[in-house]
Amino acid sequence: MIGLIRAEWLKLRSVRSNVVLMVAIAVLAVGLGALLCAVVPLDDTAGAENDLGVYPLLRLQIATAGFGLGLALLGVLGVQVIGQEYRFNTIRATFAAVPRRGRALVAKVVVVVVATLTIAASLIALSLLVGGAILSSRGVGLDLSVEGAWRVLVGTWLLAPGYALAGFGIGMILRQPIGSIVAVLAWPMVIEPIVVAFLRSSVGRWMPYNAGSQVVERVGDPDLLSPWGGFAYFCAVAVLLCLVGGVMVSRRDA
Amino acid sequence: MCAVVLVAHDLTKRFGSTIAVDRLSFEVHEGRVTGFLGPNGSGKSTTMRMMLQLDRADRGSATFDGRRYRELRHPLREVGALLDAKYVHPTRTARNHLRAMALTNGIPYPRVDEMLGLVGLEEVATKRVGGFSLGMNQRLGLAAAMLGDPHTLLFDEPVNGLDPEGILWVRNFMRTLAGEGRTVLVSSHMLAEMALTAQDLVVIGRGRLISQGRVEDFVRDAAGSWVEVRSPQVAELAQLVEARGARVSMGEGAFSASGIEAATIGELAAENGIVLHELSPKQASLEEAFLEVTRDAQQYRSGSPVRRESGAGEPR
Repeated sequence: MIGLIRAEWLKLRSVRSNVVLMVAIAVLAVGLGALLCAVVPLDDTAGAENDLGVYPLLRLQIATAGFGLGLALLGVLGVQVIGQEYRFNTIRATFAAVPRRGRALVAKVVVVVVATLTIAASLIALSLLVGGAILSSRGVGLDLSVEGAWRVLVGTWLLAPGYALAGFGIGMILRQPIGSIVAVLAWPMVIEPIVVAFLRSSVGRWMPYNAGSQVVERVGDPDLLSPWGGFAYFCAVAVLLCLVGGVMVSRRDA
Repeated sequence: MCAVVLVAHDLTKRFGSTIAVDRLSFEVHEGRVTGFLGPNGSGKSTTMRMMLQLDRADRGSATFDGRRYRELRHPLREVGALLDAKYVHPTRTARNHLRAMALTNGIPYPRVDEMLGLVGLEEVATKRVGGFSLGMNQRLGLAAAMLGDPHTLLFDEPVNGLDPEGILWVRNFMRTLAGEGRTVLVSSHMLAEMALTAQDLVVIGRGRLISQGRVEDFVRDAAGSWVEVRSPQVAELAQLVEARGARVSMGEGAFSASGIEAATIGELAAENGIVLHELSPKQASLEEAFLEVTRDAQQYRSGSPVRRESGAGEPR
């Protein structure tokens, strides 16, 4: 199994588009976080609710907001791990080398989870350092001891493999990258916001990405799932997508 | 000495209402190159994918030394396959492509560079595969197939699109492999190529087995051989030949006879003082034999007149 995992890691990093994607995520996470820390007004005239100077937790969220957008791109990375194989038919080489397909897929899952956790940990830490320095220069620092700080940080970190696995599952179900990428970007960014806006307490609360993001919200919403409850529900959906996709990939002709 | 290593038994594959492969059974022997022959679309690639269990067979199975592909612990060390040289990611380097394969089957890294050297790609080992020519891709595919030093090799149309130099190289490569005692199954729709490369033939049409056996037997049985005879006393000689049970078709000052050896006709002529101007044994070319047996694969559904009578290749 170690050999399979090493092989999948080599395959992931030896494809140029994956490297480009990871660099893009890093630039987005650190760059956008830094930009927001530099420009968001400390006192919002519209109301104290969005006042960076008043809410230390908001400052944490702003500093890691760039990585929040990067999460969607980690979903794309999850798609690529399987979608590229179908696009270039390398899936046949993969399954000829590892005919017990479940083992190859499990190796991919391990690589996706470990890689995204590592990427997320590094980028969150880097965002906090850069964002914190910028905020300090504006007279307000980052404080990790405020209530909810670790929930937001750990939640953001753990969402990373969740997004990637959801993408991986969708990639296995659709078995082609373009449609899968559209799905993992449009679903959380277009479809869910609309559904949540109009059907908040009924269907909206069960929108998986929105439910997962509750763990990084500052204030809980009684209409929606609880922070960790929503997170667990999101993870369950991601795992279900992987299981359904895994069965489909194993049964179908490669 | 010529052990059967690869057995296809009753392989069947349907795509919707089309039957791509229809109860196909055959055997491939060790130490020989077996040509897997059929027109385009006759089910060769599908059969090979079913052998590797990439495609699910609707019935039947293929076994390597009695085991299905999925039962092989390190399949690349036992069976090497080149199904399509394009099954590589264009932005991955040749070396990384092979290294990833090596890792999955516990094959040491030095073997990767050894194989790149064997196929003459060591200088482009760190180049992206997307920039490779068709011939280079084909060589990379052969390196991948040989990576685990397998005893059995499957090649699907390995010379397709290659230049004459490449074709010669692949042909010698296959013969060398068989000479080393390996089992080689190579598909082609080109008979002339198979005549030069293969010793055994498995011929299919529309997914069904048409014939299996040695190349020379196939040619003889499928289109047959005959003797061209030219003589000033053609009518007299034709009668004598017919009296020996041969079939004769008359021409202008000549006839052709089948079912009789040229030597026998010569002896007949000598015994009867008949002058001969020409006495030449003829054999149908491989192409003619192939066209003959695949002309309408449909007819073989109700028993085939050209199927070999020895029974060696009969589907069970």
